[in-house]
Amino acid sequence: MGLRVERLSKSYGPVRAVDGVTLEVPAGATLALLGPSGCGKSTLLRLVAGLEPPDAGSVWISGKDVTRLPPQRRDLGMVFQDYALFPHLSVHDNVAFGLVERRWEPSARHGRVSELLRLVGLAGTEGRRVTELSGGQQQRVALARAMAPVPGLLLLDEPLSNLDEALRAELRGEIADLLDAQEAEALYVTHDQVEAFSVADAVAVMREGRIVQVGTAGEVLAAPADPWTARFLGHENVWEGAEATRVAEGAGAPTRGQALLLRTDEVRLLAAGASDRSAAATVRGVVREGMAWRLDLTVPAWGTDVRWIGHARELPVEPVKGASLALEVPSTAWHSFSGVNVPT
Amino acid sequence: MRRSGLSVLTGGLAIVFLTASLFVPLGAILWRGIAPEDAALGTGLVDAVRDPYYLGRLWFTTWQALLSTVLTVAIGLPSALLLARYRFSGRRLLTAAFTVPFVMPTVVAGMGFLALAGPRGVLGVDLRNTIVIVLAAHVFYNFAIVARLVSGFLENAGPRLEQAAATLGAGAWRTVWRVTLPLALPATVAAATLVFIFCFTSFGVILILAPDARFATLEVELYRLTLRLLRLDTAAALALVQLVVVGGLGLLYSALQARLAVPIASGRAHQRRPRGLGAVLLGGDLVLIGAVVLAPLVALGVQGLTAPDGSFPSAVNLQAMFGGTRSVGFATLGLSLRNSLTFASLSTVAALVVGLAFAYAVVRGRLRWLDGLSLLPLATSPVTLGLGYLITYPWLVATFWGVPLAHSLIAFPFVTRTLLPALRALPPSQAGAAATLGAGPLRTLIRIELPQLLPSLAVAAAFAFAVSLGEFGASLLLVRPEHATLPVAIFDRLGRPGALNYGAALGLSLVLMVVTALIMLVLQRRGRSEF
Repeated sequence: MGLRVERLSKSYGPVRAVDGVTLEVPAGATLALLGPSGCGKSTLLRLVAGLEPPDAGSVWISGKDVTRLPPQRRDLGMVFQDYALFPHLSVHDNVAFGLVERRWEPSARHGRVSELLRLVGLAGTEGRRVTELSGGQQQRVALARAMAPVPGLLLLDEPLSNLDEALRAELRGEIADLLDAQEAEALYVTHDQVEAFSVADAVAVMREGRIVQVGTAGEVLAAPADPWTARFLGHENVWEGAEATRVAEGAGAPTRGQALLLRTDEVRLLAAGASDRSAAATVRGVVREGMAWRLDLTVPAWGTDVRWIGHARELPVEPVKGASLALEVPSTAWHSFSGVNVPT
Repeated sequence: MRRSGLSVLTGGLAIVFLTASLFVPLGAILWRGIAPEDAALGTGLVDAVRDPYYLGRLWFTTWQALLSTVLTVAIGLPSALLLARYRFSGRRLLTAAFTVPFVMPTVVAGMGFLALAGPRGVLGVDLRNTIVIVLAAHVFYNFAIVARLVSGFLENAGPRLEQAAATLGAGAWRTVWRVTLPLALPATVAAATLVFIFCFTSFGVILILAPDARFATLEVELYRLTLRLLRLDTAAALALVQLVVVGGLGLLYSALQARLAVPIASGRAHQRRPRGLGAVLLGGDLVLIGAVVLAPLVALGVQGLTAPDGSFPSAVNLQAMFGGTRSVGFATLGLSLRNSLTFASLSTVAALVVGLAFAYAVVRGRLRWLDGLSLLPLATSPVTLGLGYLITYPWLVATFWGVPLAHSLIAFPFVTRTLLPALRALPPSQAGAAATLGAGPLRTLIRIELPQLLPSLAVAAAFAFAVSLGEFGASLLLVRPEHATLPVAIFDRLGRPGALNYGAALGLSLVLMVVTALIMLVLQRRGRSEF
């Protein structure tokens, strides 16, 4: 059972879109494929779907080698970024499309379509034209259509990227519930880490055609494989090379690797001189980000700047430019890594 | 996307069709032109090129085409600028009117000009067998190409740049001079190239309006050599010369087209309501366009319903076209209309099938190198095509099937240029979605693609039908008397003496004009095309 991808490669001219990827999604699990645009994650998904032929490698679905099979014989469902609804068909006929191809009896078909439309909150829209629906509703129809034939594998290609932020947050939760409820494993491509972490059991981070790291949200966030992954996941205090050594020496941090990460969620801000184990810092810049505060701090002892994000109640002093304060950094806040990509 | 077996199959079908209907006959002409049957290698070509008579034909063909092109651009370009910039009521109607000459059969246009300024013309001036009437007909035929191509390009490319020029201090006239015209130059040259090609291979217009030998173009000479003098070797040599000229210009046109495809500064067209001088210019231009487009067609209508004795309205001419059933070679309305409709139906079905196969192979099979091939039939003149069929498939021409084959090839570019953009406009993810839902390529074509292509298929069918109905040059070479089509019947009547035959020709032209106009209504109502 499950999906297995072995040493899969695909190039477009000189660009290696997918570069020897090996990946496994255990039965029933949902794996998010997370990476910036152009990293090859959508191509990887299209290779799994059979929409593109790979240059090398193999794809196994439910223990069967499907590398040479066309998409229609792979027993999968796919949700496309632009939904790819059929504009000439009604909502019902869109959802029933795969059932017709799989020769379901008409009565079973209608039952299944109603069931799915109820599941995605669109009961009663059977007769509507898909072009009359809102973006969020179209997204739901696309999801229902992909899931209707009970496929062995569900593929989702940036399904929420065409929606506005509020709708995205709402649908994120709904999709997570739906994916949990169904038995098939799912591969969910996104460039949005919030989406990845809320929908999937595990995350695979992809960069320039390669998988950089696989793990749960907690694992990947706490111990990114390399500085690039750390920055991609939103960590802002990452130092490399000589700078990393200097910061580590100044702060007394572990110096195993060539790169150093400070997780500011474990850093406490204190009033200046409150503790002799803290490092003195000066506020260099202040930005409000919604409910949060973002401070740029100069830490003379480390010879570098640190960026801290947090809420008003965590601030010991009025956050103005030039204010003095101190940082209390537990040793667990530091994470050091080799500074080169770890291939998997 | 994977290249499916279906796209390979459809690509193969399209290539077989183009090979049989175009490449083989053209190859036969090339070979016959270089190696005549009863003379040494190359002699036919050398003789034709050395002969002062044929050199004279080439000279006339070139300068009349050049003059026609200059006149067409001079009349079409102002219309293009005004159309691109001004918004006014009736604009849509005007753009529709632009298509009228483009789709009107040559024979109808020719008869229209004859009715206007022929020996029995309503204007009372006999311009037949003068260069004036030839040039007028060429402008009628082609100015819409300039107006539409250039205004279409300017609407997409111009407005932002012109606004930028205005903010930089350029007044309206300076802007036209320094920004708009230079912008329009490549599109104008492209349009002019196309117009030159059409005028260079002008046939029906010349045959009807200036049958005198002084006005014979290469195309007319080809026809004379083939059908009247039966000198196929010389005809092939002349066809070769014409193919080289047209082929070279065709390449130039594609190169210009490719450059035009580069977006410059896209933005929504900024169109003003005309005021002051602009309104005067626009009004004047509209009157001119109206005169050019409508005069010959109105003249045809009026004279078609006028009896030889001058009474109006009268059905004498319409009755005349039913006459002559008993005489051999007289094609009546019933016979020629039935023939035309039969040929048009067959050609339409064939052109739709191969055109769809071609478009599917290009888009879904990503056989992009095929794409350019679909315009080749446009660059092949109908008489050359007819000559090629006579040389290659004499057995086929002896039957009924030569005409539908030629017509489906001539309609082919119109079909593919309509279906290609429509198929490209379908999001590729739709086919992907259908595949992941279990539908193979054929099922996807039937359930997803064809239903969405229906409007474009209707437009393509209307185009193909109209093209076949109006086709003249190839039909003239290929039809047997009992299979005469409407245009051939009109020409036949025109060539016979007497007011009655002229009246019958007018009546038949009127029928053809009305049928074509009805088809164009379909074209205007539904979908879009590159034409």
